[in-house]
Amino acid sequence: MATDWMIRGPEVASCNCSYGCPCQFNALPTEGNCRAAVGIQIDKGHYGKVKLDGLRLAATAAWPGPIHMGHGEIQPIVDERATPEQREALLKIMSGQDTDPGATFFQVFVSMCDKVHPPMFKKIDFKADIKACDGRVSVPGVVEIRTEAIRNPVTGQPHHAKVSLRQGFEYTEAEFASGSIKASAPIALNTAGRHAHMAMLHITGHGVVR
Amino acid sequence: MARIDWLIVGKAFGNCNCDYGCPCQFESLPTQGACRGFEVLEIEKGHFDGLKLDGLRAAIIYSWPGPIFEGKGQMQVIIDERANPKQREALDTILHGGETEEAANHWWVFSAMSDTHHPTIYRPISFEIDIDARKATASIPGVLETAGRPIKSPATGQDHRVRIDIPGGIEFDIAEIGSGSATTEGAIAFTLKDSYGQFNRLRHHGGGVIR
Repeated sequence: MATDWMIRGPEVASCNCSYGCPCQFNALPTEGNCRAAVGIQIDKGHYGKVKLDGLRLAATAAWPGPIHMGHGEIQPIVDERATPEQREALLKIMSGQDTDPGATFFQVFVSMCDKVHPPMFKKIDFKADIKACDGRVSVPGVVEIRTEAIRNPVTGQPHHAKVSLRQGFEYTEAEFASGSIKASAPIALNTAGRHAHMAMLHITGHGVVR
Repeated sequence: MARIDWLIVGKAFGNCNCDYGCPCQFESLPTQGACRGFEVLEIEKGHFDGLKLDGLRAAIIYSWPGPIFEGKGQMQVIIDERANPKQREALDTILHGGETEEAANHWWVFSAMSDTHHPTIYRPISFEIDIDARKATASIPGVLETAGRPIKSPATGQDHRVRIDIPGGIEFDIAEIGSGSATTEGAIAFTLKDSYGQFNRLRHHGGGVIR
């Protein structure tokens, strides 16, 4: 039987698409391919009896086309503060185990990857002010994600747009922002002024809690 | 000078040539560089000064050579032939951004970004919309034929439900996003096939969008 799990906390994600990631609308990626990075802080979470409160996750990923066409690769990164039990729990969640098919973005993304790189255990710095679109994920030597509000090209004022996916497998509501990513091997990424989103996640093995 | 008090509360369907998830909503550039689109609307409750506008319909067809904010566009307003002369004048004013504070709504902005304002025409307009179901059809014989439907997931074939909220927006607070197809004829002619469709409520007055 699948182990019961839940995670709740802020997410910072960015990819190589233009603002307003077309995937959210089932359109095709701006550049034809998808290169992305994500960081999550678990404010509250568990996997069976193992508490996950306060731990962080990150990942870098790349697909040669749109995600749903598969053949991607992903690099899971787990908070070095996690105990061996917590590491195992987080990796199970991130790799889509103990999850209904298609119920979480972890499960979907991993099933669209041919290659899952061996996990890294690193210090993960994380900051997210979702309303202000101000986010930062830092895994020294591996990946840096920064987000800020999109600016109106005419007035220069911050532009706030939210996207709601009421049947989605990642979030119910996300602030759409501007992001940059710098990541090194095995999945090198280098973007600036591209799509980012920030959301409060609340997910179990059955999907997004609503 | 004090502007005339007006209000339009109603429903609108819009369709443009961009991919699903119109990049403009996120201050990004149009998918194909240029912007062609239209809006069809029905007024549930509206007035212009003391004149009632309830139940009237209208459409506006647009075309820009680049992103809207770079201007040089053209537009044409089509007003419900059931409107009386005063109502026609009122709608023509509002939909060209008249009696509206600078940049307070999308009609003002779209009109300001258009160099060419084709003469307004008066036609029968049939229009049905269900915002929540992401479905709409509209017909203006000889001018516009369109239908909107939910986006289908390319992976599962299921209807995809996605909504954009722009709390400070000049066009909508909340829009359900779907897929639209259309053919327009006349002053601004184009064809759209399974591209960005937008289903939203309108709550506009001369000061902007009522929140």
